Amino acid sequence: MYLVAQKIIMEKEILEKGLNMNRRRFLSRLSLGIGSVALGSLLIPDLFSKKDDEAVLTGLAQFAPKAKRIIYLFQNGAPSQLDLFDYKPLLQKMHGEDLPASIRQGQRLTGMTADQKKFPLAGTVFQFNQYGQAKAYISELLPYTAGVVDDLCIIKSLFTEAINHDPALTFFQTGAQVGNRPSMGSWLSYGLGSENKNLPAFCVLLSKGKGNGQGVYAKLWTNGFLDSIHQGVQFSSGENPVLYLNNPAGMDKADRRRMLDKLAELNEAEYKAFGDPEINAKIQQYEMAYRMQTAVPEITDMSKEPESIIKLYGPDCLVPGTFAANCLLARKLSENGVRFVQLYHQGWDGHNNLPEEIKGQCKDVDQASAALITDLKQRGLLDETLVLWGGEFGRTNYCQGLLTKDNYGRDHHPRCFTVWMAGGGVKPCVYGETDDFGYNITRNPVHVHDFHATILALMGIDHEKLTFRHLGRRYRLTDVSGQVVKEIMA
Amino acid sequence: MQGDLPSHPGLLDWLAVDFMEHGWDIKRLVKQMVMSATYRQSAKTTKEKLSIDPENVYLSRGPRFRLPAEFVRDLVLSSSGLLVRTIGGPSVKPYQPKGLWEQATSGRGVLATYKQDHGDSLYRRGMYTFIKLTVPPPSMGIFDASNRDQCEVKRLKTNTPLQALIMMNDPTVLEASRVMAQKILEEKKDEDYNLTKAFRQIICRKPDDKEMSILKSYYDEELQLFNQNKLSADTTLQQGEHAQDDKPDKSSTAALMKTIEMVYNMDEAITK
Repeated sequence: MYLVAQKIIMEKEILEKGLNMNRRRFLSRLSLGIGSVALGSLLIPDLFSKKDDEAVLTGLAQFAPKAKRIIYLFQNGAPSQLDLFDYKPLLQKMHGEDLPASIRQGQRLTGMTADQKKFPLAGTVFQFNQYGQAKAYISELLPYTAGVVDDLCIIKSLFTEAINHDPALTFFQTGAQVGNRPSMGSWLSYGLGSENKNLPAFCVLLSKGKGNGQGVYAKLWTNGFLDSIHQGVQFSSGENPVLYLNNPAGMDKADRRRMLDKLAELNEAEYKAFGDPEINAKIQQYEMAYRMQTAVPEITDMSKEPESIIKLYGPDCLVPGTFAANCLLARKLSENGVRFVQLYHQGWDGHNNLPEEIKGQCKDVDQASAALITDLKQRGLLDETLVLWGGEFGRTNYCQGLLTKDNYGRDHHPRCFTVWMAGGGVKPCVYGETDDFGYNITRNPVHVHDFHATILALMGIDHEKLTFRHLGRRYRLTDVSGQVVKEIMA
Repeated sequence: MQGDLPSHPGLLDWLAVDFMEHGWDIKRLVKQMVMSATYRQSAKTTKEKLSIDPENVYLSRGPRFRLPAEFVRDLVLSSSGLLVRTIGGPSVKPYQPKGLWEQATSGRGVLATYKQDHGDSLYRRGMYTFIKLTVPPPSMGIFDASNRDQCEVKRLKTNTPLQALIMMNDPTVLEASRVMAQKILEEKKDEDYNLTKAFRQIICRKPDDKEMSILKSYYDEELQLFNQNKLSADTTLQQGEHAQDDKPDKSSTAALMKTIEMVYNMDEAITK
């Protein structure tokens, strides 16, 4: 039973002693940023709460947040904006003609197309229509997304410097092209803590489409130089939803509880001898692990979802490891207080055979992405949940490889691409414009740093103030730049 | 990159000169430090010490910190007798949760799937664990091992629930517990002997009376449950590829195995 562990842990003197030690240590040892107190709340869940059952303190946001949680639907490999959101009839008219130098303006190309003698423009083979109040262009590949367009802020003018996947992904996730910086989810976990003390603050869900894939890497959800409690916890579709979560065969919950109770007695004896506050922190970690063992399977259990929800997301949502299943799981995690849920869906890297591959990719994600928005809205959660959708860069308007009437490939294009945002205080609209060639931005460019600054602002954080001192200087997600795009904030 | 000013500049200077004067011998320097009275102080601290010197900058007590990731594995393997002490050779692939590599990779290349090793290769030191840079071994990363993205001067020493989950549920720890239990029971001694020996092999000291009574009460409870078939000894013992030992009584083995698991989870087990 809980009694033994409760007695030990909840005993006021110990907790207060631990609190005093740790609070002072945190505030003096860690950065000057607000995150230090939130860190304390993660390691000692009851640091601020009055009773055990209350949610862990969060907030310390610098101004009133609009969003409290984020779900990031990352489309890994770079979906082609020209076939999905950025309608360029000029390309169809000029299909096969060479990309004018005046448009290219010396943009560097990847090693894959740099040696091509010609850069034949490739008009999309897909039908575009306008939808919703903003009269947004969306291609026939995303009918469900078109259905929720009035909730979307579609930004057509994202740009980045990175031209290949690894640096570009790293840039999107950590704010720098070099590795080992904390990822977005880690920064938010550090800055805002968790709303639910039984679940990690930052969860990662992976899925793969059949299109050309580019892998994802642990450094995209790493805690970098922040405490490893802020690391993204990868959920898997296998037996163990979280690594090492399940008790070994032959051991049930009651059994585990018995062991933890006795273990707490042993650790408490150790604490009496050594006086090291880390021992108490460790007792807390074991209790959190125990709570996760219950909380996580409850969340990943889809059997209690109503039929209407299953229909909304599509039948794939019951197949673990698919994008649709991950979207449904993301909603459940988010609604239970997980601060940042990061999804990755591989397969968008359409260098060859794009029209065929992109159909499959869109089938994988369209219904579930739209369903997530609808689902959150129905639950009254959309206003406080920021949903993001997009890849790491765009794709070229010229064809990579052989161009035919209805088949083409597109290479990487960092200079302009489309992402969309929904919920969490975002104003539904279409923001930013590109030229008729779909190559350059003509209005309202949004750099990755600006994107990050805006996301943090929506979460109530000044991106210049959420910092961590490391190796002699202060680091932050937006590194040394970034402007909040106020026009898209409702 | 900037560091702090030295806390003991005089000592640092002395050590530097002494180091130079003795042939720049690093091994000698390390030995000098770890055999000093300062290093050999007890880690036990008092309220007073904690308030004056919380970070132990003034070396008022012996160091006390969690073992680095690779050493946690080394501890588990060596204490149970499983460790294979071969030096050198290619990296090895021990137990790892299924599907990790497969989920993250693009599906191309030699390392698209994880091909776990068998036999001796399962029991090498932590430093020989294969590191796939994009999906580094979780049991290492969770204990703050570097993922090799950049050089690190110092690793973090964190304390997280994922670490707790590893010590509770990692097959490496479970197998080591079983093997240790089986080896101890082969000696055919009594319960007190068995518990003391297991405790000593992990914690490197004898349990005191209080600890002994906690161990006994847990062991006795588990033994009863196994004897009454309320828990399945057979299932509990099926951990790891190392040969099973059918000679000792299964209920006793399972009960001892679980007690050993508990000792592995003590803070002191993986704290130096």
